[in-house]
Amino acid sequence: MFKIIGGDMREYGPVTAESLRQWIAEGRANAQTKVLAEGTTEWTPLGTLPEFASAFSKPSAPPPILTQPPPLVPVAAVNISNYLVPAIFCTLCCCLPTGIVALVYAAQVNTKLAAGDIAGAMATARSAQTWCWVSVGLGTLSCLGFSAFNFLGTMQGRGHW
Amino acid sequence: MKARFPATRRWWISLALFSFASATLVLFWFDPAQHSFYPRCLLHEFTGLNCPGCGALRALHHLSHGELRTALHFNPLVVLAGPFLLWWLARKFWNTDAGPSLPNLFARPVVGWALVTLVIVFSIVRNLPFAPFTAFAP
Repeated sequence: MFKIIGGDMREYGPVTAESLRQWIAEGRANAQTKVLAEGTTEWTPLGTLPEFASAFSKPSAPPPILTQPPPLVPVAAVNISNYLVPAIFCTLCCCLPTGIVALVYAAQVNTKLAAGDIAGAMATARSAQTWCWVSVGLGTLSCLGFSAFNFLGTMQGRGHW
Repeated sequence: MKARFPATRRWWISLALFSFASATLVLFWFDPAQHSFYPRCLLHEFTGLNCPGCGALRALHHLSHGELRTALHFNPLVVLAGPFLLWWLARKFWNTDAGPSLPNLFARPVVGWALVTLVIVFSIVRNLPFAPFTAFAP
């Protein structure tokens, strides 16, 4: 089963390889169409998948003149979490510098989505996610570290958070 | 009748509610300004700088006592972010096929960049050592 991103930037599928070949033949998908094979997490251009190579070279099919395939029946709009709220949470509660990095990445996700750059938005969302987890990790470590110091009695004074 | 939420999601909701309740109780009873068992900010400890999260625990302590003005003094960003965080959580948990569809407040590019600007300006402003900016230091 495969999912594709249509020319209208919406997600279609999952469909069988057979239906996808049909879509290629109808010019609704082309070699540049982003596709996600079931069981994988990477959106790749349809042209790079060997099982569809024959579909593109078929002379009987009408040439895919449309670089933007017309809309199919919408299944679900692309739903990319932009990590803006987790990034804000990390900035305020965990660790400032890495939280800001996550926040800047999160802001870029929306800009890229608005420009229609789905793959770029997904990559940036992953960076935002990574930096959120780095912030949470560092935040937790520093908390544990300070708890240990407190426990040993080497540090005095009131909390500052 | 079909359960409203799948089992894993219910588990996460329970855990979140439990953590939220216990954190609120601890913050309600123990003022972070008086008790040293709370974690401290590494950045403040080493550089003396006030990060955008500084004063968050004290703000939440006063918020749990209903002292909104004092809470806003310690960290306006955390207090104002609260309702938006709740909205985001509600969207995350209730936006199922069957549930209501709450609009996404954070999808527009301008919102993201406005938040980045807000956080950076706030971090600078609360470190300026003269009036009127000293009011923003926790």
